[in-house]
Amino acid sequence: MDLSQSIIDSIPVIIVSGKIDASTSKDLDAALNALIDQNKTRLVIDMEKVEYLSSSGLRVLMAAQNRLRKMKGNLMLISLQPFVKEVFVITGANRLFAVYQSQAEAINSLKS
Amino acid sequence: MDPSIVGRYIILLQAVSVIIVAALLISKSRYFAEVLEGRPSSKSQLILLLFFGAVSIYGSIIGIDLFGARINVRDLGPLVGGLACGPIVGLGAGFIGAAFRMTEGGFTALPCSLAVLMAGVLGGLVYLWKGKFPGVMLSVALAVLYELFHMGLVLVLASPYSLAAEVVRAAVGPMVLSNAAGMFIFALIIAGVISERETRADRDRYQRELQKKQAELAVAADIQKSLLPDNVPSLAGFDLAATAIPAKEVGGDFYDFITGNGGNGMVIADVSGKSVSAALFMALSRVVVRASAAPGKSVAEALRDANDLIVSNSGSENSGMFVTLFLGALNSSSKEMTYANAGHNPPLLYRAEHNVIEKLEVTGAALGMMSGLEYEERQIAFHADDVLVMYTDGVVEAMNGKGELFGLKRLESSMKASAHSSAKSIMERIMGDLSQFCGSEEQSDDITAIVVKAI
Repeated sequence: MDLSQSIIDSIPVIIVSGKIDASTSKDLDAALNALIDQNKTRLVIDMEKVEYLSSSGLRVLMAAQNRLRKMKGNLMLISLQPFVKEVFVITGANRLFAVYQSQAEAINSLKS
Repeated sequence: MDPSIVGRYIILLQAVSVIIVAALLISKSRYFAEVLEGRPSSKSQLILLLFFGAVSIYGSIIGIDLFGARINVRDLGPLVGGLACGPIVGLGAGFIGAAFRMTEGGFTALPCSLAVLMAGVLGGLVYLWKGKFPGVMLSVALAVLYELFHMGLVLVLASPYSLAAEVVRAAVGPMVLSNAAGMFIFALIIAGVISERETRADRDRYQRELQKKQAELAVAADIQKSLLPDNVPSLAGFDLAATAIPAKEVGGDFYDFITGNGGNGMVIADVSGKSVSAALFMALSRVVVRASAAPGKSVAEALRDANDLIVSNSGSENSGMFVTLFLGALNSSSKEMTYANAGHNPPLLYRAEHNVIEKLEVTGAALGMMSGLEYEERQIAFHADDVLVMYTDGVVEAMNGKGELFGLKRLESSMKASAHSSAKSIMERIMGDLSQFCGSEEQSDDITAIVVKAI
């Protein structure tokens, strides 16, 4: 798994690629918590290049979303690949996340 | 070359050997170890101080006369003592060296005594500045500069000046060279001891972490193992088999049979996360589902109540933990099963009559994600020789050496190929195919399955 970060219109965007499994999800957890600790309440994760998401990985996203919700914030996801999307649909976690097609679409949703 | 000069060099070589042996002994001693740990006792400091003082005296005694000047390594002891052990040892050793030099007399007695005292002070100050031994390169550079300073001191303080200048001219080269060489050897030995010590400390820390991790793995595996049913219940009209192969780092899979009071509940579940946290969450989920699946309650109500209990009691709202869980209730007389599926991989139902496989789809979200959820329940009727396989993602996401997943298709073929045999044989076939597929690749997630065959 690789992580890179950028900021678009002052919204942090984390771009993840590869496999989010039990061992790599810790890095994603640390990155998300670091941003939330800085009071960034609206975060975007671009998952276009994520090929695998395990239950440990989903747990990390859920934990971040739950933290953000308490701060009246939101974690938005972009471009879920079929396998990853299936994990969200089967577990029902799709009800907890807003999923967008592109970074621009996610950022625009915050402006309206 | 003049044989007497060769002889003097040999004496110097012997002196260096003595210093090397002494340096080795002291650097391995527990007195020096205390310094490296940053908490030397007064006794250790006294011993080190006497040692480096003795090195200074020895450096005076073995001095050799070369071209009319006395070449010595007197400054070395206090300088090294200060650099390696701090200002107290440096100053003490310098004082000893200086006192001895004064007793030797001669017209350079004052500058040379002063030089040896100041060498100890300088070493100590550098140690304070760096907070530790400053390393080989800096120590050697310091020794070179210091000997030049020592020569300057002789020129300024010794009289008559003309004689002093003559001595310095003869001594400056050999003095710088011998002290730098002595310092180089000393510093190399000390740096070696320090780096060896750091390596050992790193290794010890790594060992401790490894032991802690292994203890955690063992605890998690124990919890998980202790909560799995001892045996599979026998149930009229059905043939059952169950298996659970935990990964090295357990993933919180479990299966359960909730029998008694006329109910025949079956549970297969997968907790998010790994190790101790997953095992504890598994233990909690198992009890909550057992308590929620009370007689007279539908499977959908059982999951609804279990979900609310988990959300309000497990802290899952903070941890993000959840459990995907399939609950089925078998009816022996009608050969039916009602089920509710909380976000778990859809179990596969093989229909013997048409040789097809159906999926028992999800009827609600995984338990622990959010409170107040409702679950739907469905009903299926078994016909003779139908086979139901409930499994966790460890089965379909098991990986081979090429990074390929075992996948649903392979699971379905294993099922079809063995559907005519007993539940136990079907399980053996699936696990056999799985293990053959994975080869020597390490199992990264728990592998858990229940097979139900209608008789």
